[in-house]
Amino acid sequence: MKLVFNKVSKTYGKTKALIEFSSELEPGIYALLGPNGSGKSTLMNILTDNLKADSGKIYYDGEDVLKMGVRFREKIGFMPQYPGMYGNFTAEKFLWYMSALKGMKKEDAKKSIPDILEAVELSDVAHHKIASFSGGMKQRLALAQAVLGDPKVLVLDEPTAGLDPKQRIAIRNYISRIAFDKIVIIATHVVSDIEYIARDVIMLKKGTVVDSGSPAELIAKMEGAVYSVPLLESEVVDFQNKYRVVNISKNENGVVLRTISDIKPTENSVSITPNLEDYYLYVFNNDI
Amino acid sequence: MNELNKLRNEKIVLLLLAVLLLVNIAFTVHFLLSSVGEDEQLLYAANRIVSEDPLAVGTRYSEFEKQAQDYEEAYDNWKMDPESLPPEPVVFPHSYDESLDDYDFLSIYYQAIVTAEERNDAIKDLIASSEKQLRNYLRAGYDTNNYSVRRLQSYIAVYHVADRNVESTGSPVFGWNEFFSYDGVVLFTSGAGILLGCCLFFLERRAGMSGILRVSRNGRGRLAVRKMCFAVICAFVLNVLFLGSTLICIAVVKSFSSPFAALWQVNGFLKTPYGLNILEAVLIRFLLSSLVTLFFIFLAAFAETLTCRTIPAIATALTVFCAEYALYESDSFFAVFNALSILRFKDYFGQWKDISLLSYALPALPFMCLFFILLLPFVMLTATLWSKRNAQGKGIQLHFRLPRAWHIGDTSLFKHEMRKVFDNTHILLLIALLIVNIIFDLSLYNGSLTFYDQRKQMYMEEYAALSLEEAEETTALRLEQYGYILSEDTIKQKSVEYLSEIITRDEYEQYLKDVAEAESHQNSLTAYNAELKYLIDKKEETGIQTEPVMDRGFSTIFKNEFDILLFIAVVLLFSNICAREYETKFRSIQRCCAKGRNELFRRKILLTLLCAGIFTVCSFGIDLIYVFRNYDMLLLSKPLFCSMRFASTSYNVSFGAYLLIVFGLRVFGTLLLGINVFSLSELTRSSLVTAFGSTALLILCLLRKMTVPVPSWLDLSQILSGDLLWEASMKQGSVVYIVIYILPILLVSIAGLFFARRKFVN
Repeated sequence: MKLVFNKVSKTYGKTKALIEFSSELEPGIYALLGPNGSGKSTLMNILTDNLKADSGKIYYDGEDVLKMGVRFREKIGFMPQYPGMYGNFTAEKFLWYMSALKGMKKEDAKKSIPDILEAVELSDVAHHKIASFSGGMKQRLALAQAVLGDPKVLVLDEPTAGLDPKQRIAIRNYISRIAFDKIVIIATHVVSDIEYIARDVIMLKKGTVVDSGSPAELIAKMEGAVYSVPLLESEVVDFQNKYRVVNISKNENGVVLRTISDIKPTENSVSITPNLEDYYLYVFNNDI
Repeated sequence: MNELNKLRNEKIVLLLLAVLLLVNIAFTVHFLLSSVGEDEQLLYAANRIVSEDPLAVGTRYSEFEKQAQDYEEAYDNWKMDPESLPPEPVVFPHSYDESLDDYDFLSIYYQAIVTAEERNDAIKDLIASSEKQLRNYLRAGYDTNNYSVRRLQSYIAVYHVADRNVESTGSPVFGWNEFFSYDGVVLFTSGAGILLGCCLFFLERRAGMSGILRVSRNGRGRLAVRKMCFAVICAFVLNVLFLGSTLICIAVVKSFSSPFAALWQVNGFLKTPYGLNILEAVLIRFLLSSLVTLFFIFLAAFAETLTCRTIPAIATALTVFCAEYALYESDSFFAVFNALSILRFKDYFGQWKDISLLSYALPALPFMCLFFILLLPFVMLTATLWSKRNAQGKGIQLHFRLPRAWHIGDTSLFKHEMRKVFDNTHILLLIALLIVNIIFDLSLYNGSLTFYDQRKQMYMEEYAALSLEEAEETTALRLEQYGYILSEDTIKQKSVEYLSEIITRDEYEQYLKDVAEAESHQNSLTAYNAELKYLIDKKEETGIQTEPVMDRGFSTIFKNEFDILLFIAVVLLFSNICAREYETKFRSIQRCCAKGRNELFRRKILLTLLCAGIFTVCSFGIDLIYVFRNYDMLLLSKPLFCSMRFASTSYNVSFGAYLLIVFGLRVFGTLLLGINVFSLSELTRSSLVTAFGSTALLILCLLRKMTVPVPSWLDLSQILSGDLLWEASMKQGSVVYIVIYILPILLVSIAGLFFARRKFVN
């Protein structure tokens, strides 16, 4: 199973949203990282044929997905950003409706709907109307509809937005668990969500790929460039003007700043182990 | 100002308002061009050219008349003495259109002037007849506290005041006749009011601002007051725009005479009890119209805050509008609670109008205005309070739940789509529409027969044993006898015989009874005899057995109007059938499902067609049940031309076949409506635009009812009513008429569906 993007481009008026995006994806989780307007959602909408690309093609196992039509849509599950749902539907009714839209057999739907509701922790409210759901519950239901029918390509746009930490971990683990035979594409700003589960990370900036690779490869590029800098509180403002500060934490002697720098910022700075978020901030420093 | 800014960003709403304004302008112009007679048009043409004062034209004409008289005398003298020089003919100096004949112009001109004498005569007649009636009542022993007596007393008092200081400008009134006759503008102001009412709370809820506003310092009480003020300003602005555009159209097309002339000089206001001039009347009409617009703004806002959805709100407001419109002409006490009645300007200002309350005769219009002025803040306050309480935008919670099996355990896409369409709110609104339909039907198909129908039924029973020819002969003979009894000679002769005691009192009383019977039967028997003659002719012409039929039920059910409630039901249910997915942003998920494109499109259109068909069957079925219950409908197997209503028919079909054909046409019309609503819903991707776009049909039909001459090719309600189309086709003698009429809308529907499908699938 292989999904190939071949020089996919999209322009809105004078704005180039995606510029000749190319990539080859095999089963596993792929993270699309980038700031707002970097082209993540555009790419997902093109893949799901909600948007027409100006040029370029997408191939699934060597076949053009647009020509595959229904055959490709049978294999895809999509969770858009801020999806709308029918407020007067219950969660269960909504999933039955989705199973009808996906052309699932009744027996399959009957078996998988309770399992999925259980997995996204919505079993207790399966008969409640969606209008009464919180944002996080709606987000989990949107994920549930995407995974319904066991799609081979799962496209998730900000799947953990609005979830509390416990739910984020649960959802992350669930995605990781079901992803072994699927191509899962996750667009997100939350680096920690994909740091430990993504097979590859594709970093997008203004419609172009600025970097890609496994999280370990990308983190390795930051080796020796992240420092822990102890300072007095009064020195923080001046320091922030000179260096890229990732985090500030307080201790009894003052504050400790997590800083990205090519050189050692102060005498008492200590080099520390980088993570993917450091690299993200390093790459997109000027865009966030 | 903030409320205005919110609205300014709603391009679709502004576009719809602009469309309504343009349609109003188009119909005003069309009304002006087609509603004015030839004489009046000449008058208008002349009035545009006459540069001098109309009175001066009259003075000049008087001088010309004297000169013409002198000329005629001189001419007569010249004829006596032909050898002398003939006199110079007198020519009325032209300062206006050369093509207009002097005499014709001036006679038209003077006819158009309502003189003070006419006004005085009319008022004096009214007072005299009222005083006479009052005397009769008092003589008959009516109590002075009786409503009829009080009514006449107030009538006389009002008109005694109106009788003073009557002066005529001595010139005709131009333009104002049309302004006060054109009622179509109420449709557009009400429509625009409903549109704005729906947006009043919707915009901030859609933007997710309700919660934020609720915790803001001025987000509750002050905001409510501001919204109310904004609604009032909107009502005024809409009326300035719509009534203003009507005034401008009239000014451009016809021109206006002085607005300071007395109102009674305008057509239909001769007996007005109010000493208003035209300008004052225009201002009052503007204020009344603003009040009604405000009512519809508040009503739509109220419905929108209750349901949190625009389409049910529009449907509710439209249902109220239609119900009020159906009772527009009603003069019952309940007309007081009909906002639209306020706009019957000619009725309320053309003469004194009162309502009976606790035996008192109260002036109707101030009472009605007071009622609505008091009602409006209450409605708005409730809407605002509900809007604030319901900040999360979940709408009114309907506590009835369909069985779980209704929505669980099924993977049939069609059934799921059906369940989406028939949600709780829609089911409740459908039930409401059904109840309104039954109430309408109860009053419409009440089984009442006209006087002639009752007589006809009697004659049919009386002559049942006779053949057509024998019945015709018998009725003709009976008419002859009536003619003799009622002749002046006989009446005089009988009186003389009675006074000369040639006949006894009993004989004379018997004769008077015969006179009474003859008088009561003569007209109906003449009509029946004419019908028998027609049936005999038709029998000879076609060779088909004919017989008299009672067709009242048939005429009542085919009243040449389409079912407004059916129309609302289709628009209500299908305006958002596609648009909803875009509005909820769910379409992107549907599009990447295996059955989310072609299959879904097919299911949705199938559902639309099926529901439209079923609704028509139900609506027509209810009508039929009432008609069959309350009227004699034993005529189904008889030829259609047995009814004189179908005298011009060139087809030999039975009443039953006609029923089926018209029913088929109605189903077809509703299916086309369903397809167009469906297509619009997909093409515009906005339920609001779809609902208003579809309502254009309703506006055309209502305009036609308001005697605005809508071109027949624009009036698509003909297809929805079915019978009108079929009757026209029968008169033309060819079904080709139906095909020609249906073809354009059919092609438009197919094209719309094609583009909708392309947009939905690709």
